[in-house]
Amino acid sequence: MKKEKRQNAAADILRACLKNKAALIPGIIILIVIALSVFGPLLTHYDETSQDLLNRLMPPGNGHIFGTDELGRDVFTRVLYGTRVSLLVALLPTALAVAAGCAAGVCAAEFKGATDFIIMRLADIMLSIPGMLLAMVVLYTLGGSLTSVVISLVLIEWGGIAVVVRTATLEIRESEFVEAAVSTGAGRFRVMMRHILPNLVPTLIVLFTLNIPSSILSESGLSFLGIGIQPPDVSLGLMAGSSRQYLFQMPHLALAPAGMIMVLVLSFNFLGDALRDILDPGRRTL
Amino acid sequence: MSENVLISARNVTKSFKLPGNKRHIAVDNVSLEMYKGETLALVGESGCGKSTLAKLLMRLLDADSGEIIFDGTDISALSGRALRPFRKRMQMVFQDPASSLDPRMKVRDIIAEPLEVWNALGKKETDERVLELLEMVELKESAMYKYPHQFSGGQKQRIGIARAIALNPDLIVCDESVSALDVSVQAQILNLLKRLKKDLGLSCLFISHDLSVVNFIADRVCVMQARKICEINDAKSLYEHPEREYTRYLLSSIPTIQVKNVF
Amino acid sequence: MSDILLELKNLTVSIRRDKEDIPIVKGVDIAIPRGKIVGLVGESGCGKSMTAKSVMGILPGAARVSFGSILWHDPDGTVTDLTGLKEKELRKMCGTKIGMVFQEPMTSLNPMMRIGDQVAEVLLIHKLVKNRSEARDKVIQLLNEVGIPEPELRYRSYPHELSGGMRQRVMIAMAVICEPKLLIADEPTTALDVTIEAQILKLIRQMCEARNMSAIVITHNMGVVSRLCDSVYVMYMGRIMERASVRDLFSNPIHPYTRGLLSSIPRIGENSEYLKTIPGNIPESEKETVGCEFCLRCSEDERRCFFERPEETEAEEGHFVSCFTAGPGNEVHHE
Repeated sequence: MKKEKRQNAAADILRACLKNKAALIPGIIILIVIALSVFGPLLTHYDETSQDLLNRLMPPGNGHIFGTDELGRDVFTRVLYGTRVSLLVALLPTALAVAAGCAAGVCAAEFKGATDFIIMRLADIMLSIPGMLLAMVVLYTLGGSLTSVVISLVLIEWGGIAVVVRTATLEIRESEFVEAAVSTGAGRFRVMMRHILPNLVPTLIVLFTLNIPSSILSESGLSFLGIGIQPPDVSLGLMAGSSRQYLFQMPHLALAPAGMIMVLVLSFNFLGDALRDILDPGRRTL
Repeated sequence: MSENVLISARNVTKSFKLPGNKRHIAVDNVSLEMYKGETLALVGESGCGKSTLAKLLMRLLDADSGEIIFDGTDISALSGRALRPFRKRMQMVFQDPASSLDPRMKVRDIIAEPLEVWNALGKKETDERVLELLEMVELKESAMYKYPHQFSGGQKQRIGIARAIALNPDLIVCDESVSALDVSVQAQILNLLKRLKKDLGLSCLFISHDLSVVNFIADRVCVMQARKICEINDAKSLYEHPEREYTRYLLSSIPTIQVKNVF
Repeated sequence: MSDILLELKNLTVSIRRDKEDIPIVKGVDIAIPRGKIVGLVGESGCGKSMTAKSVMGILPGAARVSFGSILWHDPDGTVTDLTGLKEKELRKMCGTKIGMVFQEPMTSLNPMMRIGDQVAEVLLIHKLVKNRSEARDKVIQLLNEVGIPEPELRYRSYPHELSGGMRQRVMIAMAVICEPKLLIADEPTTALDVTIEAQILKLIRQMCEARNMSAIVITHNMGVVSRLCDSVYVMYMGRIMERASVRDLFSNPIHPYTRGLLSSIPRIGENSEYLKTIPGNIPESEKETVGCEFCLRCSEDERRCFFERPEETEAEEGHFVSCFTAGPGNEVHHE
């Protein structure tokens, strides 16, 4: 009895997620996809790069679940490996962007004045440049690679996050419990760590999950254009891009990676929405 | 007499900036003295400056001009670190019990926050002190590990009171602390405040728009009207012989109930 | 012509939550006589607002009338059950025969519209005037009647340019412009200062008397009831605990809840050390109780209250109480 009461907030949230179907289903799907991409090599006896020119452009079946591509590579294996890259590209730059945006937004709201002005104008500038254009500039300068894709995605995303975080911080700062903390004598740092950041967490998690799909889509777009991930590395976008010549004869070549992109994007979107509801403690009991 | 004064304001003025270089004067050249151990009520209609005056006294806002003297020290010029020891001695109970408690903190952490800020005690002692405080505000021990939203409005306000008295302050400021509550709960909280005030020897600055509530709790009443003090007097004399026209008008506006035979 | 305008019969409103219907108004009977002001008083969560909202058909999403009827008596003797009306018929009915005043006039007025136009809008929607200029004349006349100075000038004001009291006057004008037979006022003065409150209460009283209009006033404030109403229903957790004329209720409150409520109010000129209170908190209305809703907080020591719900009994003429202690042969003991 006593033990149960002492469980921390993370456990509470996890339990709420398990009860909530809207969070549970996309959560499970994401976990399955992660497991597939991590344990991919165990599920297939093909290699993602080994070519088999005799069995080019095979339809699904015959030991190839999704058939083979124009170089006779197993599409299923390539989707597994591509998902790995896409997930990495989804999680890493989004996490970095949320961290950067959060730091920028909180600083802007907390220090006000010149700091606020500079950070927010910088964010405005970033937001006013079309994302793809910005990414192309970075990629042409640094060359196409995973690192430059990550850098360009962080650059695209941090501005929007900073704006949202700044507004949320200002709102929390205005609330009476912050005033109450100040009146007990709590310093600025304590207020930031104990009150503002914990209350930002739901906003951050939602921003994180809602930005993941756009990261996946941006990476796919960039790779599709041929300036993102470079062969022999493989990503879902790259696969979809290289299959466009065969779109009408062999639609499965595009459908397999595109379907995976869709599953990931939708799952993260739904998870984000569900988490937003769960993380509001007032509504958790409802 | 002057060592009996806990906190006083001398010619305090506060104005807020409005868009377009205009200024809105919220408190206009107000002087006020509050004695140790008394309950002083600030009453007035919305926008009369009573909440702003209280926040000025607590130094949650900075006055444009004038002095705030707390227990013999002018605190109006102090800032940051120098002000902290005084913060400890004045605490606040807010109007809306829902928004004045951090929704993401458990009750134990909410009540312990002032204790932790002052590093007063170790973890075990803090827990004991929190328990003691919960008992003082008549909440059960099991409240410790719940979140604020699991409590009713009156219980939340009790948590807010426990937090305010955690550091044994000299002064607590109650800003409309019972006006958001239901009548039956309001009476409980009023009784609690009155009892705590007596047991702990607190001084209490009680801000309210409700003259009947003030009549119950206050020793002295200060009526504010349009950013200035209109009348200040003992509660009894003020209610029986209001000197100013405005006070009489306020008193006559209260809906009175003629009830016989209750209990 | 019966002298009852609106009758709620065994009205039950429930909210659907987690696949369960939780009743929040439990079999309430209320009769509103023509030209009278009826108060519905109780603490938060007692179902008073839901009762009023069910009359207007504006219950929030998950709530619905699950049982009972709301009968509207027209002067010619026809009776309409509002719960059986279609959305469109109800809207028409509500617009022309029932007016409503809300607690917060700032949020119930459109901030982007001039107040005069907002009031005139109501007339135009229900086609009660031929054209805009006729509507305008009527609105200005009414703004004058509700005590707005310089109505021609104020016609062109936006809501934020008015004080809270003035906005509430505009709301009242909007509610009565179609000459309704019934005014529903949901906490009409809760957001206002006492001096303004007194003026608004007086205005509502005047409007009702001038138009022979009935009113339901929903409030938590006993003072408002005593100033404004003719009769009063005391609600607790979805049930009527006591009903009587205002004079009877305040001179001889019988139900332990009413007495507790009245003694909880601090009164000027009465200097007791502590207030008498009702112990405990208002329970969450999640669980259906078999006994009296108030038994857990009641000062009377009656065992059967926990197992049996008291029927409504007439304690004195026109004064009904749902409590065993008020039954015949049960003399109420006051200390």
